[in-house]
Amino acid sequence: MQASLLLIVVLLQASLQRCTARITTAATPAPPKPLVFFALADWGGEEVAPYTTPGQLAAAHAMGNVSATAGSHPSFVLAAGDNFYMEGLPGA
Amino acid sequence: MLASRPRPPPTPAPLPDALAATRVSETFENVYSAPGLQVPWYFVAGNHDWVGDVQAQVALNGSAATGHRWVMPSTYYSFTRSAPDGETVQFVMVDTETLFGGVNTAPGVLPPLGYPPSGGRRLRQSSEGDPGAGSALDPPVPAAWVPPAVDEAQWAWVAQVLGSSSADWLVVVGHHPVWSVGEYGPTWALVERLLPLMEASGVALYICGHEHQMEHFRAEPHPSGLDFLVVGNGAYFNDTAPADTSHAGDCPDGALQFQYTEGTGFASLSLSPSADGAPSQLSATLFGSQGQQLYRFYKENPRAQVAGGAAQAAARATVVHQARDAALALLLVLAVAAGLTLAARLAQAQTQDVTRVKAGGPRDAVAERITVWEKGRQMGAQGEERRPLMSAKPGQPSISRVRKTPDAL
Repeated sequence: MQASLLLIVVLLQASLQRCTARITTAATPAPPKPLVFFALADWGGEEVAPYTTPGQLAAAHAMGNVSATAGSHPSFVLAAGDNFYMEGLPGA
Repeated sequence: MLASRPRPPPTPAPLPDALAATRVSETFENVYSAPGLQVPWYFVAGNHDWVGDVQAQVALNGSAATGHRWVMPSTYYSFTRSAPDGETVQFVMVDTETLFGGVNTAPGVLPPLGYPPSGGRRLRQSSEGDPGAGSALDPPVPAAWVPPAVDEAQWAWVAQVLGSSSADWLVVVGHHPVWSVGEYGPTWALVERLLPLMEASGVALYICGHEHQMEHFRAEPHPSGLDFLVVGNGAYFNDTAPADTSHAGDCPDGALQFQYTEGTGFASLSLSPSADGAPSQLSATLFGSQGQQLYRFYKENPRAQVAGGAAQAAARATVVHQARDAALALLLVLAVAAGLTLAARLAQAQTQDVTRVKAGGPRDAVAERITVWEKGRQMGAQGEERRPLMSAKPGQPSISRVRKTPDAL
């Protein structure tokens, strides 16, 4: 009876060790990849045709180019206001 | 009986009017048309948006006219993104115009209820410096316009969201700067009310515009503090030479790290996952309108050092422990059952040497891993190798390395 109890304990220990080893393996991080996002502000063109500015077009073009380079593709863009110069969007 | 005419297909609700539709297509959709920019865009309103109908912009949320890119569920909101390693970043999008009422008063002075009914404020826009650039714009604000009242409900929301966030990182986005050395200077109501809230909750970065230039502030020398990024040169830039630092004396001494006034541009930010015991790190690279890199800085997470970060780490450890405990309990049951079966057989055999199966005691590998992670985090946060980096090419004329102001705030 003592022998069987000892066996249970030993088996239990082995199982625990395997279990923790498996959890550790699963938690090993994948090769690091960053989260990329862009930010800009005061981008809102102008209120007469062509409703944009050369400076806005140039910066937008640069954004497109950077977004196409390896590892620099943004997951999203933050735009911090002044979305439509000079007087916002007209209401309904 | 005549066949009924086919019903026209249902059309989406039209935009408020033709001008709004034109502005959305010509100012946004056709400008940011590159394939890599067909991702969600998260918006807040600026002071110019408040001259018009901000709700018309909220109505663009998810609209097909923006390629379903326009995200603005309300004038202020929050969203959370996950880095590939599972670290989370919560972005708190605030509407600064209604946080301070649109009137930037001196410290300690309450803003008035509204502007004078006419001629109270003229919004100056700089002209572009390069050939063919946009014209100088200086129209008066419509006489009927009244600035919004200070929105105490939003203040309560900001405090609640920042105070209760369980995200690993916090980033706040608004239109008006906290600190700026430029034409408009600091926004005092944000200095007085938003800054303490952000510092208390370990916000890593405040991103804004309003000044038509780029500025980076680091209010303390340690890279884990709260940083401020102005990227207000999306369409215009203040082409003053030398750079306008007329409000430098209003900003903390030595806080301004970088200023760029000579072109339009944008920022690319990157959250690098933690690896090999090193903590995760946020970097910001500022680009000019020719795609040239102007400047880069790195940040570690202030939340690793405030109570929220500790609570977050504790919560993470608790989750891991709970998962492990559940797995062990299941194994215990299985092992006991298997052991009893085996014991019954062994009892029959009577002879068996079990000592040879003896294994070492179970090491708490998970707990050890967490300890290592925490240690790495602390060591990384105190490491000297992660200093802000001036990555601009030497001799590039567009960089203004900024002089320090003589007086502290």
